[in-house]
Amino acid sequence: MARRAGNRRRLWLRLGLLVVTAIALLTLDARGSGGVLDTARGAVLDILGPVRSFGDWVTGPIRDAWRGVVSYDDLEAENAELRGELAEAEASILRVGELERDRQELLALLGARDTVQAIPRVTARVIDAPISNFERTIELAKGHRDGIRIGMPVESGHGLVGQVVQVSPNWSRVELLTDPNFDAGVRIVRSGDDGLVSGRGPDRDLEVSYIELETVVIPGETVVTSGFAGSTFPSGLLVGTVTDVVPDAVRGAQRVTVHPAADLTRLRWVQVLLYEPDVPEPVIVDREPEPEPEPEPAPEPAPEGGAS
Amino acid sequence: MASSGPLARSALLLVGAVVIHVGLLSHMTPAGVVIDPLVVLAAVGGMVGGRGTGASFGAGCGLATDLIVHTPFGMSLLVLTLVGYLSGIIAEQIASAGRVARAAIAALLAAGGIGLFACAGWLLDLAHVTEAPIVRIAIVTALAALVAHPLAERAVRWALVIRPRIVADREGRSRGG
Repeated sequence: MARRAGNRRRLWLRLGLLVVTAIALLTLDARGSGGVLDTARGAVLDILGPVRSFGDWVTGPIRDAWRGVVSYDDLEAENAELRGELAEAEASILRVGELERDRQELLALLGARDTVQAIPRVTARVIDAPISNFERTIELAKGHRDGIRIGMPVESGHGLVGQVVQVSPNWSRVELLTDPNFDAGVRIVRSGDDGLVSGRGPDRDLEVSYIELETVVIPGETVVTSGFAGSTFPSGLLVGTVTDVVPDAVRGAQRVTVHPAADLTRLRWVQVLLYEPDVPEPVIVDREPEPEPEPEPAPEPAPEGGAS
Repeated sequence: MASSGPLARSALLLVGAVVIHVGLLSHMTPAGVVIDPLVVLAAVGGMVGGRGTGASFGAGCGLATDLIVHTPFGMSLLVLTLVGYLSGIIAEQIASAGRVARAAIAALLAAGGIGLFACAGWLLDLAHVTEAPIVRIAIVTALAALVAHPLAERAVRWALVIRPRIVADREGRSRGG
């Protein structure tokens, strides 16, 4: 009987120890002081990177064939749609070319520089297969050896894709802008109003908050990153277009729904912007000014004709 | 190899499971769901080894998951430790269950593990966990556990150096006779 009780106590002790360890690790991770944990994850990412690549290479044709069989009608419809879009795009290329020339001339006249275009970039191949059902990240076959750092923005040819959240020497992991953890300062181009865009989960549009009720926002408007001081995104990166606007009288702001410009379901190659924000020095405002030292009394002039 | 300890064997099994997970299963997603072999192994570990061994084996599975997945570090460790322990408790109640029943229980436990993960996500206020299609993930994981149970059970028995009851009984009888 006593032996059974001892066994049970040992089992509880083991379970308790494991649970406490898990909670300690969770706390360490939440405090952002998990340097060792990040290093360990980075090392594992680096080791498993080639395995992921190989798996992607082996299963890619099978997946494509399966997709072809299962969604043949969808692909056909999409093909027709893309042909239409291509014809439209070709027609607008000339117009855009002219506008671009005008823009460059104006920038030159103003002595300004195109900040987004001037940022150096690294092109990286995407391994688009989430490891878990509870995260939506993509992995890139380039890491900090190529200059990639945590927080750098990632874009495709169409617009913003996300932000680098983990880096190892040869691999990096990108959090997509649809992830609920993602947020960035944005600007609605026509009105110039600033807001905060947040992800709402995979396959869902983004939401921009803090847009004033008085601001007129029309579906179809373009939304770009605002690049305010200290932001990890430069200004002018295309985020998406407005699809819906709902006034929220309780919050005194509008809820603007934005469809991402980048197609996040078909990412093969992306560009990492090697952008590191200029974080301004913190300004201390609540410190009382030090009292100025009282001026010392000037020495009295010696009386004339004194003892000499 | 027969003399190698359960720790080394378990580590080898977990490394193998991780490689299969990231190299193969993450690329093949039935109904858009990534099948997580480590959840299945944690459930089977508890059923094969009992609650104590199950908790430790589950912790190993959780730690391996934490290293490859970008969720808060320790979350999978916590969830899969509990899955292993609970599997052990349930296995003690149904000691004489047949092969099909064991597979069905493993499937239910794996689905329960997904539910537990969602609960942990809710407690930690992780919207990307709570907003995931939990029911679909649980169903696909349960089906995968049902299919993979015979293989998973054999692999866990090998790793934990636990013989199947029929073999152990036969050996005991031959020694006694």
